[in-house]
Amino acid sequence: MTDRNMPPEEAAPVNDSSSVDEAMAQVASTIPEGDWSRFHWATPLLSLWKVWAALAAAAFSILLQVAEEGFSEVWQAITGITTTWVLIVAGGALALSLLVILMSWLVWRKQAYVLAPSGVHYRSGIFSGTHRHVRWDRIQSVEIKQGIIPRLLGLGSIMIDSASSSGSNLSLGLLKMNEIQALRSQILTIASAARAGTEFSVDRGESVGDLYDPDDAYAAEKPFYQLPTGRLVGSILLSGILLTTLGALAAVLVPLIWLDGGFSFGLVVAAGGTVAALWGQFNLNHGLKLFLTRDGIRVRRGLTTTTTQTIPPRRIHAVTLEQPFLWRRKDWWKVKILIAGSVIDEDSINSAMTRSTIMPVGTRADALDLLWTIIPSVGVDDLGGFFDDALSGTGPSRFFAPTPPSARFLDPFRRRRNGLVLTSTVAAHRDGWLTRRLTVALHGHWQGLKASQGPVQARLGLGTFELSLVAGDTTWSASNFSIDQVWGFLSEERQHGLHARAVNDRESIEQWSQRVGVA
Amino acid sequence: MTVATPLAPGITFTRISTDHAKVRALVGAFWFVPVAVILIIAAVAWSSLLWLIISLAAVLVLILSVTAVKVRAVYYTGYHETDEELLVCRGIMFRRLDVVPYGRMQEVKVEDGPLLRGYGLASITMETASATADAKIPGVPRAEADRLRRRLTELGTTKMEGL
Repeated sequence: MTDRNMPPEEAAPVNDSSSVDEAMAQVASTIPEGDWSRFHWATPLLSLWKVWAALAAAAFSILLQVAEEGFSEVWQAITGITTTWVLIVAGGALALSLLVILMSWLVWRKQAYVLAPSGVHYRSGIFSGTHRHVRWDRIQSVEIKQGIIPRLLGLGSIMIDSASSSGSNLSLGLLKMNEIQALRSQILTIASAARAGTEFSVDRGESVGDLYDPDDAYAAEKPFYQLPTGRLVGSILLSGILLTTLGALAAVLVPLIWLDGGFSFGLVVAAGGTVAALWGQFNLNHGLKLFLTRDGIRVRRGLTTTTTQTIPPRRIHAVTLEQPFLWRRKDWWKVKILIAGSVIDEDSINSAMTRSTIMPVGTRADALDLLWTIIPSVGVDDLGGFFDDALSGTGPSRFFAPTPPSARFLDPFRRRRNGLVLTSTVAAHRDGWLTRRLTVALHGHWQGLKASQGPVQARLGLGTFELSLVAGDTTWSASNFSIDQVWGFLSEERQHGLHARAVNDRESIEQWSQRVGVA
Repeated sequence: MTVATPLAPGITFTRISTDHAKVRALVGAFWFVPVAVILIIAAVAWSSLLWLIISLAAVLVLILSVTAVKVRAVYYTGYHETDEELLVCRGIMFRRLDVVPYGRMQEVKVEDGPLLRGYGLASITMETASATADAKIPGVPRAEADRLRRRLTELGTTKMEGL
């Protein structure tokens, strides 16, 4: 790798996709062929597991059909197996495996990445080439991901999050963990330099030393929050999903047993789906630890697939605290954050949604501590009183503007919780009847404001006031306030936003690490 | 040619071209006519098919009322440029007011279909990084759309702000 300074490269216009493509191709052609690096050879083999999973699923469904037709036929099928059949099946499996390995090798040869002065480049594709380019100043966060098999092999992949609204995360992998570590620190350093507008050089030095294990690196650090397994299990059991499922199952099973109906395999499959969803929750969040590091809040979690996500607090647009009804007695809370570009992911939107939850369950004190690390000040004097009101208060309150009486026609139950406050630093909305919710958005981050009124609201003199936040699973929408209130909020929030954007109210990462005491 | 909305008292908005109402009426007719033809054929040819006739009639009523609401909304749609933000008000039955700061603009889109072009109109959309904040001004004269696009692009780049 050679040292190169950032050339005076012309910034591609963000709003013109065709010229971005051209610019990208141009930039790509200037990268020397020797700079491209390949991934670990196991990469395609492990990514082809989907082929095997599909085969297994097909086999399972055939078996299911056979079983439903009756066990005598199964027995017939088993006795019908001859040596020739075994040989044919084995030969087929061998041929398929060879084909998979050949395909893997071809795929692997075409995959490469490079850290160039213009950004991170990735290319792949056997028949049609794909070239992806993330500019340094657009990188939002960098995350290390390790599945169970790569973990055993000392491999991992690195996920680069950019704020693009159409693209997905760029995933580089698999690579040796030492290399991952070197890449990660390099990417974080350059990305922050590029955002600050200072000069930087790209130099991916060879990593030395023993096999890098993220757990070792964090062993010395004291986690800011650690999720006990018991609490995670408890929160899942009290989540309501399980109760609903049990209720539904009982509703199906009881008549079946009483009316002497047949046993359905569909039911088993449905139950399996629920178990899989619950397991997914458990697997994702098992052993979750939050660290405060110089780069931001680091979230490490997962049982079979361990992910490490570093979130620069500057990039957080809003925070939501949520309490399902059954958690009320324990006073547990869930903390969700909103980051630009966090929802768009190769995985389904569901997995992205769960990843935005950085504290799946914690006590009120834990949740408020975390909130404090993200938001320096909520702009009120009496914090205790404010958060009592915000989290569990109902009715008219010292801090929150209440809805007018006419809102009771539209919101008979929710009205007492529905309240909002615009402080000098944040816009907070508390909401929810069974599930309590508090959404805190920062003035400097919204993309637009919205006021609306439907026909029924118009009759009652009500309206809805909304902050348009970046795409994600967080919304900030306060419905059924009086129309005068709505205009008041809108005018006030316009001023707050104008001011916040002008002074760039967010603290820098250095200020942040000073404040939370990790500098 | 100005509009006001109870959502933003004291602000006068520039109304979009009323020709846009004709465009919307034509779009409504585009859906209305074939359904009406099928309804007539069905009623004449198969007089026993009661449910087909009822459902077609329901669809007709739906198309008519939606078109009426959309056409009427044109007369209450307007935009207002401040030094910092673009304000767009829309609708009368479902009123909406969008406020988008110029600095939040990611992309300006000017679109015209054959119908819009026929009346010399275009619609202009200012897109942001939010899925819900999109200040769309439907049906302004082409020259005005181009002026807006230039102005928004210019203001958007000078006031370019990070997310």
